[in-house]
Amino acid sequence: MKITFLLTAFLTLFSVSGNEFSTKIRPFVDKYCKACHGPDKQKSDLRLDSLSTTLNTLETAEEWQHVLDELNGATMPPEDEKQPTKNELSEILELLTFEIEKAKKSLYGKDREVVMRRMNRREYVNTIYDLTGIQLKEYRAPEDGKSSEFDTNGKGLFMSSYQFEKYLELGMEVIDRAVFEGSKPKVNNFSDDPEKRRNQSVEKNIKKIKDRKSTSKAKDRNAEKDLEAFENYSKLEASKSGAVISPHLCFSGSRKFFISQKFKPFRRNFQPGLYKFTIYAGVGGMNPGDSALINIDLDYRGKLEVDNDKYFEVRAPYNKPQKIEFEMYLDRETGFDIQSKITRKGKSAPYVVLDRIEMSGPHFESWPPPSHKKIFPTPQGNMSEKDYISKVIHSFTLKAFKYRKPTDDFLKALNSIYHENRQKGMPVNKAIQEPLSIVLSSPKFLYMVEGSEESKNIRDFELASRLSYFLWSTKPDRELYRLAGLNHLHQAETLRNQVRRMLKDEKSMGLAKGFVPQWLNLHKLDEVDVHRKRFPDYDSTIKSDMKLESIHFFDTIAKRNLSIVNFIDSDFITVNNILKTYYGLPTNGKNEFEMVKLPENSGRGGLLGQGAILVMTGNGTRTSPVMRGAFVMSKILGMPSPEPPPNVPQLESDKTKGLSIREALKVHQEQPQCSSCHKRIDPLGFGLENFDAAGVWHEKMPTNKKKNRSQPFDTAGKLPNGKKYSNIHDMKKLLLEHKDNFAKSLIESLLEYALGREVGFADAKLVDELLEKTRTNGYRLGDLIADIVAAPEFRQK
Amino acid sequence: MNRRNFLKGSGVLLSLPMLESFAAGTSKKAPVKLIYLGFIYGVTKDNNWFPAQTGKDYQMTTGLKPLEKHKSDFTVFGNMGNPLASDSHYSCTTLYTGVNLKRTPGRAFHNSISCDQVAAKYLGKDTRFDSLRLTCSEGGTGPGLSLSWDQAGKPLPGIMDPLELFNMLFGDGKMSVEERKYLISKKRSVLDAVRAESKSIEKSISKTDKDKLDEYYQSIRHIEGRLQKASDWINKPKPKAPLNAPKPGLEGVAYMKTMYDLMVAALQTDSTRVITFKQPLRTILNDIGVKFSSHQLSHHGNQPDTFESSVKKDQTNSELLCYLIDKLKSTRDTDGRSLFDNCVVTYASGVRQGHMLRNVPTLITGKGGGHLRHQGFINIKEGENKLSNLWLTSLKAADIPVNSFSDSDRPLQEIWS
Repeated sequence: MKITFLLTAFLTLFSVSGNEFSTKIRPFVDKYCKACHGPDKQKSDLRLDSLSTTLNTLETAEEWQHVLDELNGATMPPEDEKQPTKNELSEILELLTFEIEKAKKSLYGKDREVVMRRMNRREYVNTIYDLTGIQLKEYRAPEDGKSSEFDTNGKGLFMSSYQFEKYLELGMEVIDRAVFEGSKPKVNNFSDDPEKRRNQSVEKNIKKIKDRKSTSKAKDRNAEKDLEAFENYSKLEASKSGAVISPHLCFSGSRKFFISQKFKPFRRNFQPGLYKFTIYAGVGGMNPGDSALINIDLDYRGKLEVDNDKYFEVRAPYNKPQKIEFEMYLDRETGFDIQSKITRKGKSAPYVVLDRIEMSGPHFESWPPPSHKKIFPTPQGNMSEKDYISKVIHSFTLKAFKYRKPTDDFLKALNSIYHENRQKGMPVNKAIQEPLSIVLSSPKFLYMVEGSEESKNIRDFELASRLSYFLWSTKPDRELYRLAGLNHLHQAETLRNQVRRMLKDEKSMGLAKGFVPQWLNLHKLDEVDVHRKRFPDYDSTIKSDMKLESIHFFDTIAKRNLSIVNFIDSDFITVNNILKTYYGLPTNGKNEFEMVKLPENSGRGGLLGQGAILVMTGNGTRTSPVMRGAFVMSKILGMPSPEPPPNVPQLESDKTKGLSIREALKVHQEQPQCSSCHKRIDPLGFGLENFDAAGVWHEKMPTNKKKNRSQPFDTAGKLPNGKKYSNIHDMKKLLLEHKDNFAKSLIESLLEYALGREVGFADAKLVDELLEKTRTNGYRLGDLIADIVAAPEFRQK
Repeated sequence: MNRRNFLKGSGVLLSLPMLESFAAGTSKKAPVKLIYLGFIYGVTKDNNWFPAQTGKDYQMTTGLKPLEKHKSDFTVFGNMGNPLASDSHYSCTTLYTGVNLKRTPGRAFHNSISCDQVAAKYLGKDTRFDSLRLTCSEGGTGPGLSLSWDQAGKPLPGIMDPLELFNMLFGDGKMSVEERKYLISKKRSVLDAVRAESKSIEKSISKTDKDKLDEYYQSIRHIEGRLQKASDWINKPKPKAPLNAPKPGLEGVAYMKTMYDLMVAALQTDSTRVITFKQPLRTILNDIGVKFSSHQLSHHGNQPDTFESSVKKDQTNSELLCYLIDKLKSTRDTDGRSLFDNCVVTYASGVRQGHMLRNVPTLITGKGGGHLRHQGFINIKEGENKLSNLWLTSLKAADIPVNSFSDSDRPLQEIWS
């Protein structure tokens, strides 16, 4: 196995051999620890000289972790004993930190066992949709309480009584929404001229502020600003013909009042269903080259939902508004926002004027609707209610249980609950809710039940589920079940064909949506509050579009079977109009995410040019080369990135006062406890300094008022192997030399996600084989995914 | 004074379940109540919260200042921590469990029972709710659904909405006893059906999977336990609410005060004797005009603007705690003493500041039924400075017959009366 050997040698480029660990740690222990923790004395029952230096068990790694903790906390050696020099300490800390981290990571998942898991939140919502046609919002499903790397790992997915009750409750709601009784509901029409309410509220606010002003002596600057803005609004000619929605017209920052037009019609007697909308809108204050969009945003309480926004470009002048038509499914919790997105900012910015909103619904193409027929098919021949319902329950249960047979007793119990409800006087569509919601709370629906005690290999029906939840985050479709029924699915060629078919299907967005945010930790973006004054263009739309950018980028690479090297650097990005504008790229009419070729010499390519990554690795005001470096190290180079030690205090500011960030980080490296990691991490982050804390590219530093000239950024740094770079382009070139490190790390993450278990040392052979394959295949993501599915491990319990 | 007489005397007409101890007249002392509070990302730099001098006469710090009027009634600890904590962004996950979360060989994630749930097993027997768990959903707390973890180390969910909490405690709806009995029996038949169905899986799955499936059974058993309790209490109407139903959509400081009001009301009506609260921070920061995120504040790096905001955050938290203490002092328990006399409140975070997991902010208040004597500021010496020792002390104060909790070695004698 020459290839594997070479590969391993290559991948350990940055780490030390086991032998080196021993030769470095032994003398240190002998010199500083042995006197108290050696053959003569074993203070605290601890003996270090005989502790194994081969980190091949978690227990050993754990023992060394305690040693590391003491050294980091500077509690050992005790003050009155001989102390190691800075260099000695620094070297030992670095060695311990990285070796322990590596050992632990690879030792997890030793048993390679896939623990039976329940569906996570995403999968539950998707599966319910495929089963019943009812779309639940993700945030309504119980939280997963994320406690493992990926939400597909059974070890981190718990079940509690609260969850069980929630599943029952949601099940009732889903069936209630799916089945109907009686005749088609009447279509309601509703129209609204929003300017009237808007102008009234503006007048009211002006009066309120003026009244308050007359009674209070203290000068309220915010109130003054508000007053000015409201008065500007009412002076606006356009405000007579419609509600003006513009974030920039009256305020420099964004104020909710002017951005969004909340619209919650039919509060009473509301019928969920498909609604048709017509919006009459126009623009004012446009200069050549300006563009204005309106964004219809379903109210999802700020949670990340992909592809639910609708964007329309507005070109007509506001006194001759254009007609914008669309359809949307509304349920009881939806309201929606109409926001304007305008390319130019400032007081003379263009604005969107909303003249009239008309809506009608609910519209049903057929009656009863498909969701009803899915549960209640037209009975064949003359059937008693008893027989018919028994068939309904049986067929729903089979589908929900992924064709795992329910027990007879279970079906009997469900039938009797139905009949009891009927006797209590409930109509058919109500009486069925409870039995079917019980199905939706049963283990055979909620859990991925796999395997048997006799065999490690899973059966074709189970394989269908694994495949489908991996690539689609939902239940298998008919074709997969058909192949499973023929017992063909596990055949290599069939599997490959299925992967190809499934990746092309739009449901494969489920993989990108499920995998990418967890792989890249995109949730961190939500923890960063970007400084509003400094970065006025950054807002919540930019933020959610940035997340979508990373998701669509992966999706594009997977669907088009492109090389994963694109994650390190690429000549294209996937963005919509809003991000194109934000990134300073030309726009076109549509606002959909699409592949856009980058200009020559752009620094935007790859993960490191994506807004989400750049913003979440800063604090919203300043960039952080440290956090960016840590990202490069862990996600691009695939090196362990240990958590900061639990007991090292922050740097005191008086030491870093007045220093540039680069100088401040040097101070950072003086303390051995910090430098052991930071000397590797920090130099990896400087290459991205051209991107500011809101992800915008600058060729040069903003003009310095005193010197009145702008300076280039200092973007020089180096890789952990010592190779130096001077800017982002060189840096990416150097990173490309290590594409196998990236590939290996991506393979490991994809495997963890796909298999639902930790991937460590025990899987080294599998990972090496996949790496070898992807290298000969030109690193194509689609092929890599097919190889993962084809691996025997994918079929093993 | 007899409890019922007292209630009559105070003019509050409450219908309370007849508790055995009172019915038999065996004890006049009301049981001790436990409140465990947890907050996100610790406090601002050492000397802004932690006192510089030990003992009762320490000088008030800026962070603790709002609590000054209660100075003799609480103890602040120095040097405390969970020596096994390892993740610097988990403020709350192991705060009340004291567990080595990630380092247990062979297990990716592993927690164990939290001290409130140990207490709930004993103190929950005679109340309508074994324990109350109030929680928030915010970054920085670490994995978990509330501060509480069950016997098997699984996360227990909590309540976030004050109105939901109010309805749970005091809302009986308009349902008759018969209707409620019917619902209970109905629920039982649902549970019977799923249980029978689950059994059929058991035959075909591996040992580990059986353990996983056991979580499912466990949750069904929990619900059955609750149904049992509901049917035991079915003839006892819920107490009359001593406060108005909260307005929907509360946020920030107003939200916190309402949650504290409801906690006090729950104790006052003896609906429960154990409460945990994983406290939110983001909306409080919005409310007091702080523009930075909680994570940013914890890394203030001594920059003047973030630093100032961080101090303001500590003070607001202390003001709120002061509000809770005021409330506990002014509310009578069933034995005529104040709730403050009869309770233990702990207030802590699993993170000190930044990434520091040692020497975390820890404060205890309440007289614990006379068991606790407050000592100002105490530094607990190395080796004994485990949080689990403090949690054990709180359990002892509530007369819970346990001699250890998690990795504890002894109760903290320093505050024992």
